[in-house]
Amino acid sequence: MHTVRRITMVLGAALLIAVLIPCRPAAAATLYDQLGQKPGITKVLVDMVGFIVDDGRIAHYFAHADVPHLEGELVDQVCYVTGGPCTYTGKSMAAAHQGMHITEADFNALVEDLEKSMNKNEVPIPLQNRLIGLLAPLLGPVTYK
Amino acid sequence: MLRFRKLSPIAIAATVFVMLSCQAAFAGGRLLATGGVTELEGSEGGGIVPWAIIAGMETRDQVGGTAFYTHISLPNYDVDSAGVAVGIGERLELSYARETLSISNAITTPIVTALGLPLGVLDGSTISDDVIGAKLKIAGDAVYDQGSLMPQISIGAQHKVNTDFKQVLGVTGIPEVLGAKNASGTDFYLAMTKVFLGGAGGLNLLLNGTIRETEANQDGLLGFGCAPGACRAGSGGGGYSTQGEGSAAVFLNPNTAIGAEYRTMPNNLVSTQEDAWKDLFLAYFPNKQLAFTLAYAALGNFPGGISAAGITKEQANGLFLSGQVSFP
Ligand code: HEM
Repeated sequence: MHTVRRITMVLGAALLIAVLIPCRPAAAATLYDQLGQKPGITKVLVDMVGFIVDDGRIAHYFAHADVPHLEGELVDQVCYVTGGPCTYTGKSMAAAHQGMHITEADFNALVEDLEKSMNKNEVPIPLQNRLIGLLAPLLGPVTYK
Repeated sequence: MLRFRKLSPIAIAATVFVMLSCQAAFAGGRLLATGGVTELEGSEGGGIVPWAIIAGMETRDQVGGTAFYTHISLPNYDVDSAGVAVGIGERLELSYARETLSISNAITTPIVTALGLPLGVLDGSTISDDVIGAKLKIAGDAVYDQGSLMPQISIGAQHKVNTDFKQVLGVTGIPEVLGAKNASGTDFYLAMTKVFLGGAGGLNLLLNGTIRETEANQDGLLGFGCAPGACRAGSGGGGYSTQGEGSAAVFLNPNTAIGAEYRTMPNNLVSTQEDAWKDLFLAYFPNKQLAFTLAYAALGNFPGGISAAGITKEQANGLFLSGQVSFP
């Protein structure tokens, strides 16, 4: 009797937990977590830079870029804006792109390369939209400087 | 116009698709599917509502444009519209469209009989509007101003000339018979459009609100205002009235959007009741140059014919098909 009750209780508790776990608000996870934290973000950004330097529309901007440094700064920045435990220590967006005369079309080309990379890394569309939503307001500071 | 009626819109869309799908590589400056399609009157928008977005795939230092064709198939009417627009620097849009309402003989024959006109004189009747539009972006950016509620705001005007107001085959014009006062009129509007990236549970959400000052009856297809004695009570004599229009769309993915629209109408004429126009749409953007829209449109009551009690009503619900080509 006692054993049966115990088993029932344990099973009941297990069932309850199994039911409740998926109900824990997913929103509590930051975009940083959902993108796979630093390893996930790094893969997306390194692939993005790979697409950029092959992208005839904007590759020329990066002809003399220090690619490993740029990747490091990008990872810190995206980690930070998506709610991760990083600090961005690079230049301000306006300062980083000063004198480059980047156009809105160039900016959109970079966003397309980011989308390409996120598709390659199978980032779900809702996460793609949220990340692009965080970067879109940088159009002003980055372009026509 | 007859030419447009005879060509099936699907055939046109297919031709345009074949012509352009091999050129999809040429790059427009804008992000995919952050713009709209062309609304019936030739302005960038949804299917029936002008938005604050400027036509074309250009960015602020480019010139772009669109061409479109729309066909709405209603029980006793068809609406066809075709036109072009130029977008300059993502700020100014200039557009031209020709809208045509084709009326089935089932509607016109009783009118001919009632007026004692020669039988068959209104067979195959069409009423057309030429629409010249201009739109100026005055503030905000629908896509890039994320993290704020600030929408893109544009003001616009659509000058419409009804070319079949007075005469059909030298007899009389249907808009005039129905009591419309003028053959032309100008609509003025203010549109606010906002894209919330990830705003609908992670999916991109577009919201638009438009306020329009207009005298037009059924978009101008039934003329403008109302002649003395032909005005509906409460229509204020058929002068300008303020109408509200709204659109909402969710992008299921970068290539596909679903949405709904609503647009109120002045209801000036006592002869024929005018209701709000509505639609539910599915838009498909295979690439940055092409857009196809499939919608169910509910345009409310249209004139249904003549009976002893006067002009009867006819529910104008049907399929809406549209294709748009964008440049650069
Ligand atoms: C969302 C948009 C963008 C973000 C978040 C971004 C971010 C960054 C960051 C973090 C750096 C490094 C700053 C530092 O070294 O302290 C950088 C540098 C740079 N960015 Fe951007 N950028 C954006 C758009 C663009 C665009 C559209 C272009 C050109 C098409 C561009 C071209 C460059 C170049 C050439 C450098 C210098 C690289 C080097 O010399 O090492 N960026 N950007």
